[in-house]
Amino acid sequence: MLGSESCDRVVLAGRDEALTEVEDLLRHRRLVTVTGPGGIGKSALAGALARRPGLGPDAVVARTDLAPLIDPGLVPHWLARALGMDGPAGKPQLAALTEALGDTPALLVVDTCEHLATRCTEVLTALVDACPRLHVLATSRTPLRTPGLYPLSPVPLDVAAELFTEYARQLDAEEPPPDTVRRICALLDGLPLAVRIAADRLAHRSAADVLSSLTRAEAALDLPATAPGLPTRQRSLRDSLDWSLRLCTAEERLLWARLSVFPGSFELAQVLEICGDAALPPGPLVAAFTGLAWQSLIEPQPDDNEGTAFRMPRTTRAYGRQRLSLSGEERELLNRFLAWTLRAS
Amino acid sequence: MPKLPPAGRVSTVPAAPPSGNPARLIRGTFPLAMAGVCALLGRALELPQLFLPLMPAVAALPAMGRSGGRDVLGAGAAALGGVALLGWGARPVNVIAALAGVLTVTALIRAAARRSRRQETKLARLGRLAQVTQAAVLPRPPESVGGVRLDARYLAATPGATVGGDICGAERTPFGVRLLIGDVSGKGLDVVATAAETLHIWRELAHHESSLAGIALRMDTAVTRIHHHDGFVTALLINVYDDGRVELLSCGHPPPLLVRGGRASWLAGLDATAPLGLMEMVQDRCPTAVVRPAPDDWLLLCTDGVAECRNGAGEFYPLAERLTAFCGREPTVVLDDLEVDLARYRDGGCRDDAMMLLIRPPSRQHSG
Ligand SMILES: Nc1ncnc2c1ncn2[C@@H]1O[C@H](COP(=O)(O)OP(=O)(O)O)[C@@H](O)[C@H]1O
Ligand SMILES: [Mg+2]
Repeated sequence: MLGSESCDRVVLAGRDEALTEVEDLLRHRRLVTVTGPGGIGKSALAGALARRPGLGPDAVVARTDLAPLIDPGLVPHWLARALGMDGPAGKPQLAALTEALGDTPALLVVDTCEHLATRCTEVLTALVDACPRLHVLATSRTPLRTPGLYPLSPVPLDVAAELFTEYARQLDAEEPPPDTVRRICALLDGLPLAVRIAADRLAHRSAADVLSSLTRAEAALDLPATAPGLPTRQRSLRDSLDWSLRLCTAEERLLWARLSVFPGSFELAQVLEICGDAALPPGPLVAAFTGLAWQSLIEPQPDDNEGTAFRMPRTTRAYGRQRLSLSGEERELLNRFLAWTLRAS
Repeated sequence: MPKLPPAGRVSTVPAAPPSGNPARLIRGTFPLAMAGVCALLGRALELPQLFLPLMPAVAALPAMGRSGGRDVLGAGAAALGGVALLGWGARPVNVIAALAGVLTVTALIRAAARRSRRQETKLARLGRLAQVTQAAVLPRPPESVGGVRLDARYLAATPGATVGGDICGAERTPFGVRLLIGDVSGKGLDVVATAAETLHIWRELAHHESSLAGIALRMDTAVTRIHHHDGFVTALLINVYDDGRVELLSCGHPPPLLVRGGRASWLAGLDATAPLGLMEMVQDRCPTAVVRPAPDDWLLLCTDGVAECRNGAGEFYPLAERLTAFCGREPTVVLDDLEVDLARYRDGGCRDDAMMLLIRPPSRQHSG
C-alpha cells in the first residue's frame, strides 16, 4: 500500500531511539500520532514500527495511507478495509467496525492524516476507546488533538550524509567526496526526502554540480524525484509543499509568504510588526502563526534557549518567497523589513 | 412476459391440473368394458379357460395411466366380476389362479399408485417452494417507494425462470429513497445465492450508511467475501433526496437513460468506478454524480442484458432509439412494448438475464 516503503532497500537510518520511544508511548497511550513536516520520515518510521513484533505474533497488523481520500465520512471505511473487517451491515461503519474488532489485539497504522485531522481524531479516539487491545499509530503533518503526540525531528547531519552516500551507492554513481556530501546535506534541513531527491541527481551529475545547484534554494524546490515508488505529493519538494499549502487557511498562506522576508530566525513580536497590517490584523496573525507552527512549517530555533525564536526551513522559505513575489507584495515587505532592521540597530 | 408481481405478492402455480371429468370417466369405465367384453367372448365362444388368465391384465390396466386409488379398486372389481362370469363351469384350478392373479395385481398397483401420488405431491410442493423462496430472496420492488414510482421488467436467460444474477431494490431510508440495480457475474445457482446475499446486504446498508460511496465500499468488501471464484457485481447506486436531487454512483454498470420530452438518451457525465469486488484496483475511488430531473423526466435503469443485447448478426440493440420510438404513452405500456421488442430482437442472438427498472421521481408542486 505504501509506495514509499515497497521499493525502499534502505534501512531506516538514525531512528533507533525514535522507534523505542514511539513504541513505549504506544504501549501507554494506544493512540500515538507521529508529527513533522512532509518528507521528514514519518511514514518510514511508522512502517518500520509495524514490522516489529511489538504486540505479539498473533496481533493483526494493518496499514492504510489516507492521502488519496477526500471525503472525511469515509475514514472508518478505509480503516475497516485495511483491517479486512466490515462488521454487521445493519450498523454504520464505525459502530460495525468496533463490533468486529472487539478485543482482538491489533496494530493499525494510519498514514497521512493531516487533511482529515478532525475526523481522524474523532474516529481513532472512538475506536481506541471501544477496543481495549487496539493500538493506533497515525502520521500527520498537523498533530491530531489527542494526548499521544510524537514530534519527529530532522535526522542529524551525519545520518543525512550516510543516507546520501547510501542512495548514491544504489545508483552505482561514483562515490561522492564526503566533504561535498556534508555540505549538500547541510543545505537540506535534515529532511530525508530532500536527501533522497538530491542524491537521485547523481545519476546524471557530479556531486559538485548538485551542491552548486542547491545553493539556490528555489532550484532545490523543483528537483524532480526520479526514484520509483514515491507518491505524487513527494515527486519534488515543491509537490510536498503544495500539499501542505492546500491544508492552510488564507491567513496562514499569506503569513507563510510574508515570513519569507526573514533570512534567519524571528520572534512573534517582530512578525507582528513587519507582517501585520489591515490584511493581517494581530488576532488572525497570531492564529496563523500558531497554525504554521502546528503544521511544522515553522519550527522553534534549535539553539534558542528561551524558546521564543522560530525559523523556517530553507526550502519552505524559498517556496514562500516565490509566492510573495507572485503576490506583488515582495517590495513592500522588503521595505518594511529594512526599516525595522535600521530602527533596531 | 408478464409484469413482475410486486414484492410480497407471490403468484403460485397450482401443482398439477385436476384432470377433466371425461378423461376420468373413460379411465374409470375402460377396465369394466374390457372385463365385460372378455366375459361375453369367453361365454359366447365357450372358451372360458382362454379368457380367465386375461383378468389379472384387466386389473393391471390402471397402471397404464395416472390413476387414483379408486380407479385401481374399480378395475380390480371389474376383473373379479369377469372371473366370476368366466369361472362358472371352468376348472377350479384355473379360477383360483385367476383370482389370485387379480388380487395380487390390484394390491401391487394400488401400492405403486400411492407411492407415485406421494412423490408427485412432494415435487409439486418443492416447485412451489422454489418459487416462493426465489420471490422472497429476490423480490421485485413495489410500485412506489417514498413517492418514487417504479416499474420493473425481467427477461431471464432461461425461459421460465424468474431469478438470475440481476437484482434491483428500492428502499425508503432516513437519507432519502435509495435504489439499486445490479448484475452478478457468472451463471447458475451460485449466482442466485450471491445475488440474494448482495441484495440483502445492500438493503441493510441503505438504511445505515450515510453516503453512496460508503455503501459501495462496504458492498465491495462483502462481495469479495461471499462471491466465489473472484466474481464481481456491477451496480448502479442511486439516492433520490427529498429536495429532488438524484445522486448516482456507477460501479462498472451501464449508465441510466434519461427520458425527457419524449426523447431518450444515455445520461452523460457519470464517471464509473470499478465493479463491486474489484474496487481495490481503483484505490477505492467512488465518484458520484448529481442530477436534478425535471418534473416529468423518467430514468430507465438497465443491466448489461439490455444495454449490451445483440441480435443474431451481433449488432447492439439500439436502446435509446427504440425507447424514444415507444415514448408518448403510459410508462407501463412503453415498458411492455420495449420488452416485447427486446425479446424479439435478442431471439437468435446470445442471451443474458436482462432487467429494466423505470423510475419516475416524485413530481413536486413547487418545482424549482
Ligand atoms: N530514517 C530514514 N532512513 C532512510 N530513509 C528515510 C528515513 N526517513 C525517511 N526516509 C525516506 O525519505 C522519504 C520520505 O520519507 P517519508 O516517511 O515518506 O516522509 P513523511 O511521511 O514524513 O512525509 C522516503 O523515501 C523514505 O524512505
Ligand atoms: Mg508520509
